[in-house]
Amino acid sequence: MDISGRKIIGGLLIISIIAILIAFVVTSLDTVNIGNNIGLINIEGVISSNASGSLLTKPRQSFLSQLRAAEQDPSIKALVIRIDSPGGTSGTSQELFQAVLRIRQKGIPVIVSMGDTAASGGYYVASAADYIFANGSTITGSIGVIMEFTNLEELYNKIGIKYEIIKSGAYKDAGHSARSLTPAEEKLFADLIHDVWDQFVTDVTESRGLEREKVEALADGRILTGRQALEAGLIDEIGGLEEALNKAQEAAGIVGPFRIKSYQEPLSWFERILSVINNVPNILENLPRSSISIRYQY
Amino acid sequence: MALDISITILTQPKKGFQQLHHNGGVLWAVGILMVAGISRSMVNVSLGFSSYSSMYFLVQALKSVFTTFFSSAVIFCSCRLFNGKATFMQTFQAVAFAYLPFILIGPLSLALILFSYPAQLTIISSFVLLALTIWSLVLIIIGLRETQQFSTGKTILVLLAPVIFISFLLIIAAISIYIF
Repeated sequence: MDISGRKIIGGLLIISIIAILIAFVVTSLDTVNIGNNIGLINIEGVISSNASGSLLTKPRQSFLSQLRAAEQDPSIKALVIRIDSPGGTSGTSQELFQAVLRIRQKGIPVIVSMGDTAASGGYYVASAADYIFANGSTITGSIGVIMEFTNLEELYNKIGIKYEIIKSGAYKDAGHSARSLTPAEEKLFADLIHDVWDQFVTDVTESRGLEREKVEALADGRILTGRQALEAGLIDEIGGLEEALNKAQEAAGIVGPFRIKSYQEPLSWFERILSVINNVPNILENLPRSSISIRYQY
Repeated sequence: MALDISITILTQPKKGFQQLHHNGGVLWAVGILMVAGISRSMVNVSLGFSSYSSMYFLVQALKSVFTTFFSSAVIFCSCRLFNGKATFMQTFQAVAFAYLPFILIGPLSLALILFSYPAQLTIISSFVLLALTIWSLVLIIIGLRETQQFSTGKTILVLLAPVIFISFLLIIAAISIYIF
């Protein structure tokens, strides 16, 4: 290459370095708004505080951390949450509900698109949104609380295991697997369940702007189809993800094309290989639970 | 001098890497990796890989330096197995200078930032990034060939050897997890 060619390449190199430095300084000043973005978060599977991962893979980002990332992202103008979940633990469901409310309070419209199932805790989270879409056959509702114990007393007796429990109070071992509940314990747990149920009903009533009596009538744990939920006022419209994205675009006042921004880091090629290998039914999930948890779960 | 070598590497890679082999330039190598790392991460943000901030770009740049340092060590070991002639620092410099094409994406990065990542420019940048990646790979092969005094075929084999070895180990690990 001749001298002039070298000069052009040299000039291009120097201009490029200067351009990168200017771009870096501009981003340091935090004055850049990255285009017309609509955030998309998928809440799939059982809601739990544990981010899934394995020995060889980094934990997948939890739903909550994805919502936090969306909340702190100045580049998104609306958020679509795709929910396909039967619910999960009550505490995490409530945290997700609060996280959605915080995003709304920042002026970001939140639209929910329900997949096959958005029941119980899944509906709890959805109810915090500005607008809810569900398919006609989506399983939703299931407003209620469940808590279960496994009484293994007879099994323990058969195999010769005897628990010796030393406790500081009458209720400290309430729900232990080695014996049945006493009437007092049953009442304790019933009161507890009712309180958690009441919080669910209150939040749905307030966020959806429905009459409490109406929500209470539906809050017996029953499931509803998307169409029934529309009649009951639990959702706003029948539609899928496409309709939800269009609604988000409209709510955000975006004219023209927009970019969808996901907060879940893509799987690396190694994680993809492992996910195929690990994609076998987890039989442990179906065994009786050894610890007590209160769940908004269908 | 380093700027002169950089221009030669981009225009006449064979001659450029031969000059680099004799003159050196570790600090320039680190500088190239930092700038290329920032530039690449600015485009990657537009591809939706992550949220953006200046700190994120800086971390990505540092990550680029450490990753290249580590990968150079692996390549160096592989070269030694095939009787390569260069030292570790010469190997590192060759690999780092092969990242030069990514600096040329600078104006595009600036345009993405200033024009708020328009969709059309995002699509263009992904193709440009792909083309620069291929250019960079070609430069790595030429760079190692010249510094290690290998043939082109042997250089490709040297680069593939660790990949094949690590893939083999990962498959064994994955099968072990499946079995046990």
